[in-house]
Amino acid sequence: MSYRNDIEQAIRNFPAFPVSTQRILNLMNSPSLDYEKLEEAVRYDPGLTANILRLANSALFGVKRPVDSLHMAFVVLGEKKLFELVMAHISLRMFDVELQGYQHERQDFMRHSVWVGIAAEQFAQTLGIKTEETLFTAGLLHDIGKLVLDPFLLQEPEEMQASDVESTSESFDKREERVLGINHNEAGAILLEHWNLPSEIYAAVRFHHAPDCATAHKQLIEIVHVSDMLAYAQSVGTGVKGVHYDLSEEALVHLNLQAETVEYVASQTVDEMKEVLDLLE
Amino acid sequence: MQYRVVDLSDMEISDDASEILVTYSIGSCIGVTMFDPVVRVGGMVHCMLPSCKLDPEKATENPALFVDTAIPELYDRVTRCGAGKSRLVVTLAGAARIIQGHGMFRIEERNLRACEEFFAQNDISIRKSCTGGYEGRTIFLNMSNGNFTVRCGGKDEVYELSE
Repeated sequence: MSYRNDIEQAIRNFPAFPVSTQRILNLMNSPSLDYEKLEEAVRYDPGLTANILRLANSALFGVKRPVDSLHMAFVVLGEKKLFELVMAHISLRMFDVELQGYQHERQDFMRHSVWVGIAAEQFAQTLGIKTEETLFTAGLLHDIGKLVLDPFLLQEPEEMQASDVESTSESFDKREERVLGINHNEAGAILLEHWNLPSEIYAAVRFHHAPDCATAHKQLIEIVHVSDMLAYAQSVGTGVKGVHYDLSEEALVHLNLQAETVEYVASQTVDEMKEVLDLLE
Repeated sequence: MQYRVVDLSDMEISDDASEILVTYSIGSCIGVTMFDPVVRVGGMVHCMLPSCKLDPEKATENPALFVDTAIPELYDRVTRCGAGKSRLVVTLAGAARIIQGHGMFRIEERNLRACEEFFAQNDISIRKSCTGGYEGRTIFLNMSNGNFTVRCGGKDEVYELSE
């Protein structure tokens, strides 16, 4: 049987962003950012305000004078960093959970998500690729569908937790599709589309395990894909035993990826990961 | 017993019999432990990439990142704390092939090669090696008795190597 209808229902019922956050995102998505309105929206969220000030004062930005107002922090950070920070702030709160179906212990899911976001930026930077500015966020949110699918995985313990690990065995997203009628990529994309996030973000979520099938935003999707694969190779916050996903050879060719680049990105990511987690925890 | 966690690209040394050193989720990385059962000094490292040539500056900052700087550093630190080379019980775990397919993601192969090279060149024998396969591992070093535990696929294997 398929759980697809139930899962679609669960997506519709999935708690949306808090209203205040939705307001912030709407402001940030508007063509010209009104900093005054943004300040008004942000300052009612003490956690977010603290994180913005902390980041603006961190060594990452090298500002000599202390940044003590939100207005000044916006100027220091710029729109792109600000968007990333707002998304990270919201997601980390949402991602700091145990996912029993995927056997992600607490912290696993959050670590994996942040790792992929950072690695994606590092890949783009190292390869000298200019992509959409939302690359970090696309990486951060790539597995958000797992939040929806997790309880359904628990209903099929035998199918979804089989620990036979053969190099030829079925990839986990295909297994989700076969057993549940939908995989976490598609579920995540539908959810984000509901939330009105920029289209390249939900395209990346939709195709992060099948970049060859994407027609638009292909480069961004391929970068998120290889970043995710790198996180798996390194076992960063990966759950279910015996899980494997397919690596797209085509993406490697398109990105002209070399072994050294992969290793370099891994080394950069682990460093930045430590910094970001310190900042956000 | 208290757990002391060794993070990814990090290293810990201990002489406290009430501690268990642990490092979680070793995928393509390499985890190495060293333990001297006589003086009861030991350490664990979770190194990530094969060679410091990739970024020598970073290797100086954090030797635990690269196999070829992490293992010598671990060896130096445990011997400086009194461990003797001839008594040293050395184990290694990891280098799993989680991603199938293309060679450029075969970090595990390069890691394992770098690791074995070091031990061969320095004439240090490895008492237990749990590498390869397709799954991540978690390892424990019990500082009270030197027991080495490998958790893989939800099962724990305990190796009593220091009797």
